[in-house]
Amino acid sequence: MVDLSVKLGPLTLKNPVLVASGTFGYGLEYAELFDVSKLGGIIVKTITPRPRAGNPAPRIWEVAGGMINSIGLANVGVDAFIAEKLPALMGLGTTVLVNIAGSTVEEYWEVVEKLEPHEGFDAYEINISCPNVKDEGMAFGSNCAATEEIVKGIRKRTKRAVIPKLTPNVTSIGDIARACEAAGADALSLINTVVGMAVDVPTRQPKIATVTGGYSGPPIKPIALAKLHEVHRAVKLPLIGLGGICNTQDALEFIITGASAVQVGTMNYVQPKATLEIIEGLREFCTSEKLSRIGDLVGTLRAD
Amino acid sequence: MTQEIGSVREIRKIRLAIFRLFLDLPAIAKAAKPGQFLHLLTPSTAGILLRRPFSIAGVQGSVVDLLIRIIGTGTEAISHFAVGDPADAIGPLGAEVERGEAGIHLLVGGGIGAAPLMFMQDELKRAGREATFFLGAKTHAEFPLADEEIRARGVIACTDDGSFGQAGFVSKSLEKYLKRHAAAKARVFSCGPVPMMKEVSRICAKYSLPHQVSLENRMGCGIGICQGCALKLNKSDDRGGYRLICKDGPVFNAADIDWSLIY
Repeated sequence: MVDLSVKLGPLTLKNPVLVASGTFGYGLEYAELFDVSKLGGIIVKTITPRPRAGNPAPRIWEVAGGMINSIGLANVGVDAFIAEKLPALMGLGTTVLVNIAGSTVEEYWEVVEKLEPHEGFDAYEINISCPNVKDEGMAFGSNCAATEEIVKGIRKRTKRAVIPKLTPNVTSIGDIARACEAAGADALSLINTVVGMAVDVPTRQPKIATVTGGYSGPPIKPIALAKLHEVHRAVKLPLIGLGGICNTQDALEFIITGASAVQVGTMNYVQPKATLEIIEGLREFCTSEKLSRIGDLVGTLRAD
Repeated sequence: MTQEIGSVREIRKIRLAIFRLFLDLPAIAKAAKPGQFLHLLTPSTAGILLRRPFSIAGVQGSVVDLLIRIIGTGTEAISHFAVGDPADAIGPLGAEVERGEAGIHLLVGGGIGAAPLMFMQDELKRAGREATFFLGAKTHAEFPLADEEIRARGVIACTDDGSFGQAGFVSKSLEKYLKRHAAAKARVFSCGPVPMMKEVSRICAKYSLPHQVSLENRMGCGIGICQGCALKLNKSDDRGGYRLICKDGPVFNAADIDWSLIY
């Protein structure tokens, strides 16, 4: 019997496989396609203080092996989330992590203050890394002082797990990770999408209305692993790895590099049940390697 | 909505880049309604990631009928399917179409836009309702249906170059028909190139006919999650006027469409 459960600070997951924010909605749509209670957890789409309609179209474009998106954090806003989405999420039988963002430092805190009195979720993933909204999101996550201020303020307001999500679009992701650790974060998620772009040659226009977007899918896996390796050496916090994970092999590479848990993102669109296959694949790997707990594999990379 | 792994029953070349793909997908076939689509996994040999959305062109028993034009790597790879190959599809997707009570239905298609209208024609016929199907293409060689099916369906065919059927745009045939018939109770469905649907909209507004259009877009998930296929309507509301083509559509009231925002 293999123990697949993992601990991320105060948060315990029944297994290390999560679905990434923005690729699973509020959990209900995919519940029609498979038993989502088997997931280690669901990270819901980014919630902001007020509803956001999102960016103009076109918002997505497929590129070699992956896609570029610029949705612009379209969401129902925190009040409608609490009233309409959270009760349904509670019934899905797995851990719920709420991803949040704001346009100002105070807006991040405002979302937390509104969510705090409610049951039904166990952690905050802090989106300081969205590449597709002006003057916010990624701007915070590429600045150590702003990152520290946001995370410190959230830490003061909650005992739930606080998990900043980091952008790879920075000079030193290790510095940002250290700022989060100093501010009292419980764990870190990385990486968010890589800023990317595509051009329509006949019209000489960008393929995405906002010109650039976030590149995701299998091609960004090597970038994600390199950033994970860098952060693993920079901080002591438990890490959640993501970026192009499609199958068990991918998940194992992240866990060996230092991820205590992993997230599947873009692949949910292609094979909604990929996560279940990965959970079973990890169990089989541990059995064949005679590992009693998946935790024993975390950060076992042999690199001098 | 379900994810089903069925198989390829038949693949039939129609002409040039157009083919029909018949997939044995019992659950999807049973639930499918006109106007809906499915999201088909592309063969791994294509080296691309995302599924491809296709309008359901008809259902016969457990078999779903797709009408596909090869326009890129994904459709090219799908055109190489062989009988018996596994077919992984999520569907049926999209909202059910409001068909209205009485009156006749005018189906106006351009090129590969014939697909959802074929299913609609089949369903109307089964219900004993009257439908007239106008279908246009640039040339006979690019016509999306085989000659025998054009006859069997009673399609009013038009080609831009006059190489088959009536000469000129399909919208011209529609307007000619409306001038001849006092079609007070007609309901119009169109699907095809944007300039065509826009012109049909203008004609329908002139004759005060309700008009619905079936739209397409690049899709990530196909089920309303990724919000990549957002469409801004010409009205503002608590959703900023945005709708998702995959979930709220793909069929919309033409009167709500801002044609300058369709690409």
